[in-house]
Amino acid sequence: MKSVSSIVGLFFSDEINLVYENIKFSGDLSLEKKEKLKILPFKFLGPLFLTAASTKEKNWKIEVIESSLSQYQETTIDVDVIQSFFNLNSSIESEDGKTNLFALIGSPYTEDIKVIYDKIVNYIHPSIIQGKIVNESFLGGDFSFKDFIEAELIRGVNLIEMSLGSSRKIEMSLGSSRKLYCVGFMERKESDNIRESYLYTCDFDDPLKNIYLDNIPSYYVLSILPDYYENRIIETLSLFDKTTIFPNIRAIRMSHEEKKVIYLEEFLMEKNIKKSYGVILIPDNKNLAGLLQAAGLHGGGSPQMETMSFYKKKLRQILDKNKNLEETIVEINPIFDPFEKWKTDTEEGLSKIKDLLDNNN
Amino acid sequence: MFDKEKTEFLEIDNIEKDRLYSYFERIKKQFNHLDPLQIVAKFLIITQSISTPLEEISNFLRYYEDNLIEGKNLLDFAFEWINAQKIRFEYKKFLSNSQFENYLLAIDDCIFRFFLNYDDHVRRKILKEDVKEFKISMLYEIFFSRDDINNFQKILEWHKINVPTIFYGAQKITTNLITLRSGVARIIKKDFDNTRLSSTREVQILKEKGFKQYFQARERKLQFNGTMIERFIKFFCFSGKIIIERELENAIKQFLSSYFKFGTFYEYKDFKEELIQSLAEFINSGLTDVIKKSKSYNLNILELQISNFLKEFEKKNQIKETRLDGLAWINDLNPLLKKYLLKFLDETYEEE
Repeated sequence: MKSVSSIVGLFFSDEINLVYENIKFSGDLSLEKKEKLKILPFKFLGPLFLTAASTKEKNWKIEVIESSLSQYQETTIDVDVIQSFFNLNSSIESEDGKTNLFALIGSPYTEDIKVIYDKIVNYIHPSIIQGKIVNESFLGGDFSFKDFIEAELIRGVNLIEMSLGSSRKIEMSLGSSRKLYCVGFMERKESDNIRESYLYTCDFDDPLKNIYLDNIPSYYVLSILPDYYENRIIETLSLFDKTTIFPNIRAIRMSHEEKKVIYLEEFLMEKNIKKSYGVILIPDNKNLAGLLQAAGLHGGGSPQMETMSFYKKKLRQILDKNKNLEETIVEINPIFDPFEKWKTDTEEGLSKIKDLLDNNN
Repeated sequence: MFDKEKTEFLEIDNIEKDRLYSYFERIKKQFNHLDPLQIVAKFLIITQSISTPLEEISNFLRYYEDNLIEGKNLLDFAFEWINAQKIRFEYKKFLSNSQFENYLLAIDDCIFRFFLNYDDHVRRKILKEDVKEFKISMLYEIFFSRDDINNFQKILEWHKINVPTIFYGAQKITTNLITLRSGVARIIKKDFDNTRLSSTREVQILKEKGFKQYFQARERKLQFNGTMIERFIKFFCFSGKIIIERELENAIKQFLSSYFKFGTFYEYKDFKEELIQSLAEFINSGLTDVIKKSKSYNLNILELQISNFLKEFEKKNQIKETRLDGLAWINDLNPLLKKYLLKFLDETYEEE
C-alpha cells in the first residue's frame, strides 16, 4: 500500500482570466510533472470560462464537482490511499470584474464538503477580494498583486488542508426535503474500446424545452461537463501517481442568481465496462409552476418533483437491473422520449444539441 | 482529539435577555444616583466582572451611542457585549483543544468558525450602515478581549490608522473581513500563545513532579492487546493442532485494532518495537512450558524471530519511513502477521 496523501490546489482567476495557483501535495513530484501541473488550473477552469462566455446574460457559476474514487483491483499491496476527489468553485462579481477561486481536493477520507465549500465561498475568496482593495488603498503603486495573491493562496490552501479529515456530515444538497425536477437524463458507457454518451430529454420542438432551457446553462454545457471533469480528474490523479484508482462523478452543482442545477450520477463497473446514469435536476422554483401547467396541457402526463434520494434510487435500480432503462426514464419524467437519444460524445452530436436543443425557439 | 465536526456556529441570540433585563432593573434601582449611560456601564462592570473604571466604560458607550441603528439602545449594545463574551468562551474552549501549526492558521480558522456570523449580526442588527470600519474593528477588540479598557484613546488611535473605510464613488466598499481580522487577530494570537505556553508548562510540571504513573498509564494504553492471540495459541497447544483460520484472523485483527485507530496516522518506526514486544509477550504466555522448554523459546528469542520476519516486509515495501492511517496498517499487517503465526505454529509443532 502507498503512503496516505492528500492533494489541495487553489486556483484564482481574475477578470482577464489570468490564473494563479498554489498546489500542495504531501508526496514528491518530478520536474516534468511539476511542469504539467502548471497547465492543470487552466484545464479545470476551462468550463468556468466557457459557461461565462457562452451564456453571458445568464452567467452560470459552477459550485461543486464531486467524485468518488474506486480501485481498479480489489486487492493489491500498492493501492492508493485516497477516497474522495472534488472541486469547489466560488465566483464573485466585484467592482474589478468577475473572479473565480477554484479548489481541487483529493483526500483519503470522505470529506465534509459543505464546511470546506463555506470556507471558500464565505471566507477565503472574499478575503482575497477585500484584501486586494485594502492593500491597494494603503500601498497604491507599490502594491504587487502577484505577491499578494501568492501569499493568499498559500493561506487558503493551509486553511482548507486543516479542515480535511472531518467525515461527511450532510450531502451537498439544496436541503434534504427540497423537491427537484428532472430536465435531462444522461447515459454514459466507457471501457478500453467503448466510449458512448447520450442525453435524453423532451423533443426539441416541445414548448417545455424553452422553460427547461431557461433554468439551465445549456444542454451543450451539461452534456460535456461529466466527461470533461472526469477526464481532468483522471489526468490529475495520474499526475500525482494515483494510478490504481479511477474517478466517478457523483454530483455537479451550478447556480445563476436564484437558479440552481444539480447533476447527479451513479455508476457500476460491469465486465470492465463502466456504466453511468445521471439526471439533470432543477429545484422547485416559481417558474416551474408554469412548467407544470404547460405539461398538463401537453398531455404527456404530469412531471413529478421528487427528492434527491428518489432519483438516486431510480438510477441505482437501472444499474442493478431491477428496472428497465426506458421505463425509468418515463417514470422520472413522462415528457422525455426514451427512444430518442442525443449523442453527446461526438462533435456532430454536440453541434446538433447546440442547434436544436439550445436554440430557444 | 478534538472533533471538528461537533463545532457548530454559535447562535447569536442565545443570551437570556429576560434574566439580564430584570437584573438591570435591580441595578437601576440600586444606583439611582447615576445617569442612564452610567447605569448601563455599571451593569456591564457587575455582570462581566470588569475592573475598568466606570468613567472609561462610560466613555466607550458614549462613543458608540450615536452609531446604533434605530430601535436599538445602549442596553441592547451592552447585551451584545455579554453575547460576545459567550462566543469568546466557546472560542477559547475550541482553541485550547485544537492543534494549529501556527497562529496565522488559528486566526483564520477561528474567525471563520466563531466570529464571521457575529460580524454579520452586528452589521445588520446593531450598527448603522455608515459606521466607519475602524469603529467596528475597535468594537470587536474591546468586545472579545478580556483585558480591561485602560486606554480607550490608545486603542482607538491604532484602529484609526490601520483600518480604512474605502469608498467607490459614494458607495462604501465591503471590507468586513479585513475589519473583523483587524479587530480579533491580536486577541487570537495572544490566546494562541497562552494556550501553547500553558500546555507546555503542564507537561513540564507533570514531569518535574515525577508523575510517573501518568506517563506509565499513557504508555500502557498505547500497547497492543493480544489476549485473543494468546488464547488462540493456548487452544492450538491443546486442541491437536487444528487451525481455524477465521479465528486466527480475528485474533490478529483484535491485536492490531487495539492499537491502530481509523483516522489517525502512524509511522512504522514509531510502533515497530512495541508491536514486536507485545506480540512476543502474548505468544510467550500462550505457549505451554513443555513447548517453551523443548524449543528453547523465551521472550528474547521470540522478539528476534518476529523482528527478522518483519525485516523482509520492510525491505520489500520500503516501509521504514511510511506514514499510514490506522485502518491501512491493520489491512497491511493482518496478512503479514497471519503468515508469521502460521509459520511459527508450523515450525513449533513440526517434529511432533
